[in-house]
Amino acid sequence: MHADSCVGSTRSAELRDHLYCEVDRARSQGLSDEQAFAAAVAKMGESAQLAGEHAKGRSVFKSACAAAMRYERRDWQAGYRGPLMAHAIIWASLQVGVSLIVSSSDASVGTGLLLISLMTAMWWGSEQILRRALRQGGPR
Amino acid sequence: MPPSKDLVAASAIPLILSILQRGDSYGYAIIQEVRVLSGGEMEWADGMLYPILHRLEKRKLVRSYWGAAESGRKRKYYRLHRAGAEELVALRIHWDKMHGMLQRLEGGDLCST
Repeated sequence: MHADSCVGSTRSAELRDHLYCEVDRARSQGLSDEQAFAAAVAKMGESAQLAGEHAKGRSVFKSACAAAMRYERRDWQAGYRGPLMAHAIIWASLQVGVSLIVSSSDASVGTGLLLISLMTAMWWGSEQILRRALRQGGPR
Repeated sequence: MPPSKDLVAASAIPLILSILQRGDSYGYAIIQEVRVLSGGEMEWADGMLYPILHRLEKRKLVRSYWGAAESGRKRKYYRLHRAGAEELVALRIHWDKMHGMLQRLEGGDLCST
């Protein structure tokens, strides 16, 4: 299901319909709404098992996307969304600023590209440092 | 005795294609139909059917389209493709051969030509 964030919501919509069908069936057997929902979810199977089945036949791009989503979600769920967003905004602003300066100067296209590449690498590096620092600080 | 996990897995594609040959259907209905056909002996884990359907779609044996359930809910239906019908014919031949082999073994006429 995490991977569906990469490819649209069609697969999760399909599973959702299945879940509702099962809830309707359980309700018709006299279960309460909560009981019916719990029974339907249990019947769908373990999420890890489901993810494993859905991962079969997935393209390299989608697998990479799913892995990235899991990685990202782990930190976001730990409550690091704020600092990571702030960090991304600062670096994106810096990139835009540098790009504007370079484009208005006499610098060559090659120099501009080199500068942007360097900044992207620094962005990535500083983000890893930030993530590590946040994790060492423990969940919030 | 319920069929083994291996047998359930091996029979999944011919069963799905056979059900779709009778008409368009969707995941939940396919599972229910298998349950009824097997007299309740074959239980597919609910979440396991969809990856198989998606693989069949990728192989262009079936195609899907979105429709609406009676409740108005969005629902994905599957339809058998021509390639799927051809695949089903081939699969039936294989299963018939297996069935024939088992019957011959049971009848003990292995030497008959």
